[in-house]
Amino acid sequence: MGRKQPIIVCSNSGCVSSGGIDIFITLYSEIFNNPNLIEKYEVKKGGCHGFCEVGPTVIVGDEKVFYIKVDTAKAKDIINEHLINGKIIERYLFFDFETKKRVPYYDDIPFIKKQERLLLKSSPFVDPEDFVDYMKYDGFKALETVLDKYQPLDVCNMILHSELRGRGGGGFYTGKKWLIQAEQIAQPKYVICNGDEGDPGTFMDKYLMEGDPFRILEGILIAGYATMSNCGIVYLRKEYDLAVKRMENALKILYDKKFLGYSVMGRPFAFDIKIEYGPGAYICGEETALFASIESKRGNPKVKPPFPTERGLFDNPTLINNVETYANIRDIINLGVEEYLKIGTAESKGTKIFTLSGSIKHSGLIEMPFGVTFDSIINDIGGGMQKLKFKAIQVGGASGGIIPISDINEQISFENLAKLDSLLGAGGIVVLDESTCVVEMAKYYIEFAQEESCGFCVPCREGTQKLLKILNKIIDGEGQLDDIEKIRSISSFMFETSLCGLGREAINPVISMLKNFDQELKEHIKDKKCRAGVCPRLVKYVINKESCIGCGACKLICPVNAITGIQGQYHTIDREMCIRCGQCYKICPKEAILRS
Amino acid sequence: MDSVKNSNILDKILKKYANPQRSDLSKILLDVQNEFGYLSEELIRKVSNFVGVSATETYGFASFYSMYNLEKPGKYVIRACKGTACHVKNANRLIRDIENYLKIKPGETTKDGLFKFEVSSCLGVCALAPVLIINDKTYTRVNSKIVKSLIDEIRRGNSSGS
Repeated sequence: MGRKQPIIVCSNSGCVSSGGIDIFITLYSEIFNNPNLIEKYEVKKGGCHGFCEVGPTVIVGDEKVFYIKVDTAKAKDIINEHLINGKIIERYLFFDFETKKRVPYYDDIPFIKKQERLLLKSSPFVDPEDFVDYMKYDGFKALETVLDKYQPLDVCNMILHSELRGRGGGGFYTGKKWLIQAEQIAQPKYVICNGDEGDPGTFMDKYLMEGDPFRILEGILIAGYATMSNCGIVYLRKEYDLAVKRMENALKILYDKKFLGYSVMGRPFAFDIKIEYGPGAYICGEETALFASIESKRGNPKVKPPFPTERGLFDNPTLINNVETYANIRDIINLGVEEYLKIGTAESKGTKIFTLSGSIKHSGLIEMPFGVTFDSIINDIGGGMQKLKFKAIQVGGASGGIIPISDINEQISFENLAKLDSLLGAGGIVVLDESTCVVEMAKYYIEFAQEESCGFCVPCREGTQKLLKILNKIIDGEGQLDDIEKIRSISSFMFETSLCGLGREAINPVISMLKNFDQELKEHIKDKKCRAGVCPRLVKYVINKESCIGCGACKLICPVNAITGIQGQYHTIDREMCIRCGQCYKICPKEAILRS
Repeated sequence: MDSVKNSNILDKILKKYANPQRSDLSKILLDVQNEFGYLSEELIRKVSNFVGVSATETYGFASFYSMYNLEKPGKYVIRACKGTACHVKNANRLIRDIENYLKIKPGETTKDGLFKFEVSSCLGVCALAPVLIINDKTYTRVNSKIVKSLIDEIRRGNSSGS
């Protein structure tokens, strides 16, 4: 009997939330009850393929036929038509609008094909809950190599030479951190995996932990060996319940298989990993605040130095890296440093996982080498804009910048983004179209920073409040020209004097707005005009008598009954009652409602 | 009667921590919350006594983090996301509509104790924005209509059941 053909149901939270588990159960039980099929096929769960938008998905067979937006009825059709009759079901395939053709195979989907994947390459085909499946795809090969062939310091040096930089946003050279940690003599020495992802618009850590938990744990184990540490901690948000479940499951298996404990893989290396839950505060993504939360204290950051590698958790040496950083370790060892160095740009090596969302056709998780341009991410992989024209890109979450259309051909790398007054952050990319107001966007981020500020140091606590006040004033149409100067001086004050990164970098969205969207800001202040029509006080809606056909659609949708008129005759908007929500503007079939 | 039963339950939880450290506080609070649903003033006092910190300090710790409930939460917790991706897809209006429909603000619980409304900074399902979680179930690409019907459904289910 030959090897069974796999049928893989994506089981990450994106697909699960649209019903992935039901499909798994349907396929599993149908095939289980059919003696012909059970000999040929095995149904299993898979990690994330990143194309969450078309989920839940099912990949059939070695040729990887890719069915999208599957539900239980479609799942039964897949069994009857594809598995039993051997015909690919055309109508359930992905439709490529560019070529106007259905795309049958996973590898040919433009969103997937145009990516250059390293970390996410095997994840869609590996069951995140199955250790044996992980082992089939070079699982723990890197750990074994390291344990048998290298001294701990050699491993640190390998990581140093690979020029791997921290993927959490800081971009510090990982190997340097490891070497410092390795030199420490105090015990116990901690190795922490920072999965306290909370940046708006970012979800790569979540999907890595859900989709490939063993890879992360392998990275942590290698870090533990290389830095001669013995206590690993995976720190993740309690809200990520699926990631929590998968990590707990993976840890249990590794203890059972003796890949953790007093003798890892039977070698003289003892290492433990446990899970700590982030109790829900954005600031705990900052390393010293994270330690405080594990120590059951309020998450207030501390002044650095001393750095965590010298005095970290419980004042002991602590190595802390981001989830994605650990995910890279396995590939650096398996590929070899030479090969790894060939990927990326001069100062940023390797690949980066980005989360693409916003007003773009295809959103999801993507992976590209450093040096990729925004243009290629948005237009090649993302498939271009949904409806409205492109306006800007927001990169790096709350500490990133808003990048205008003129910079669309810029490369994404640590060094280049710094030049554009933005940060890579964790790699969240949100594409904004013309219906977004950058002033309102800047306000949104400042509001976020203000809510999440721990309140410990004055510049951040007061600065974010003052900035928010000014921005709200501008949005309400009461801005004055000297407000721009005020924003500048508060921002530079916050940058220079805030205690931690949250305060220092909170100003990035505002600074990039000042730099790149000066014109739009001044329109808000001088002309009392919001070109995107977002700021409610700055727009007016009127009905054009000539084009109104009196269909009454606007009257029906108006939430405050501000529109009056008789069927068939032109309608009017009561300006006093109107709350400027713009719903009538969107619904009017004749474009008779004018916005100014 | 009830309070005796409750203190027995509490004792059982505390017994797990034979020699409580300051750093155990978060775990004890979480265990207690999982059992009682929220941390009442009385529970905070008792836990503080047990660990050997002041009740003020425990309250300061618990109130800092969103994971701890200091008030009795509703039977259904509705968590709306307002991350960037949801924000650009009009999460603001969705949040406003939920506020109006439930007649409560984020962080509050309806008078009948059925719903608690929360707003999260990002739930990490950005590709399917806007997103909403009710208890443990994630709803993607929602709009006000869908949310209203979800709320109505829960209300109906609860009024007929009791």
